[in-house]
Amino acid sequence: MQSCKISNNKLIALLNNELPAEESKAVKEHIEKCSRCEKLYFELEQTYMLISEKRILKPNPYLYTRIEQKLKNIEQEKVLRPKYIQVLQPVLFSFVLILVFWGSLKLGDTYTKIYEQDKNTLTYSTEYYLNDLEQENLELILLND
Amino acid sequence: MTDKELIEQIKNKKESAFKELIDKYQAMVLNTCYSFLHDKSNAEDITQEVFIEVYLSINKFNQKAKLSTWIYRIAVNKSLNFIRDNKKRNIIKSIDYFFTEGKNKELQIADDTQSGLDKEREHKKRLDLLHQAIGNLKRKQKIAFTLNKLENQSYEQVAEIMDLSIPAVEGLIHRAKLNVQKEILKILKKKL
Ligand SMILES: [Zn+2]
Repeated sequence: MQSCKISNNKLIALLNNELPAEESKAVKEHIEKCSRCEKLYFELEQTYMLISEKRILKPNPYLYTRIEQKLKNIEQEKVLRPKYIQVLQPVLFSFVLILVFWGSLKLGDTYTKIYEQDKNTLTYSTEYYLNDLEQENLELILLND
Repeated sequence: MTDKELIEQIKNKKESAFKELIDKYQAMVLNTCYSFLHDKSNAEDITQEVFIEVYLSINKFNQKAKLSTWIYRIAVNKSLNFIRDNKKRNIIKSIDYFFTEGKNKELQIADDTQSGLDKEREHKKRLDLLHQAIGNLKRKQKIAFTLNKLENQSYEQVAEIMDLSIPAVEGLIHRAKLNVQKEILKILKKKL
């Protein structure tokens, strides 16, 4: 007897009458003896068959009224939007203003700190430099003399 | 009124023309959406959206195309977008379905001893299985297969809606049919 796996792969072809006579016979023989494959074939057939089942829905009698209402809402939103903007704009503007003010304060703070740090290192290194130069100059003068 | 006249009048914001267009095409739109969504209430919601889109973009409508073709396209796109947006929810639903149902119980072959209610339940499950298999198709296969097999549109009509050649549509539907059967068998094997 043909194995379940081989038969399984041919169930679809069998359903669609696409198997050569000999193969078709072999699969059918298997199905007769194997209850699992028989069940699979039956279910596949019964399920796929439902494709041709026709159901026709009747339109909802309130369809037009609902669409009309939705379109009105859409129109209204368009009219209302400028009003929103009228209220929102000053609020947004003041918010941005506060943000900029607060931000500049914070920035100023950090820059002061950086400046303070920079000043220290700068003076330090400059002093060194100047000293070196001075010493060098003095030595050069002495040597030249 | 012809479609051409309807379009002209809708462009001129004549409400009665829009109402006439809805009356003419509402059954077609509703049933097309239902073929994709398999749910009456969702299909009704999307039908509303389809006509709203028709109304709002009537100026973009190309007069060379047929009005029904254009409306079909909007209906298909809206339905598929709805499915895409709800995919997450649907996946959870189908996982839930497989875990809550008994494995062998649900596949008992209907026989004479079964009550009408059982048969109805069995039928509903097979239908769900079929819809799940169609739902797993690739986009183009799904559109062609659904329009042809569930909406009874001819290959010519499907080709026009999808803007494809007839052989291309035939190819899509043939592959879709095999894939649907394969998918059904795959799910059945897991459950049997
Ligand atoms: Zn077997």
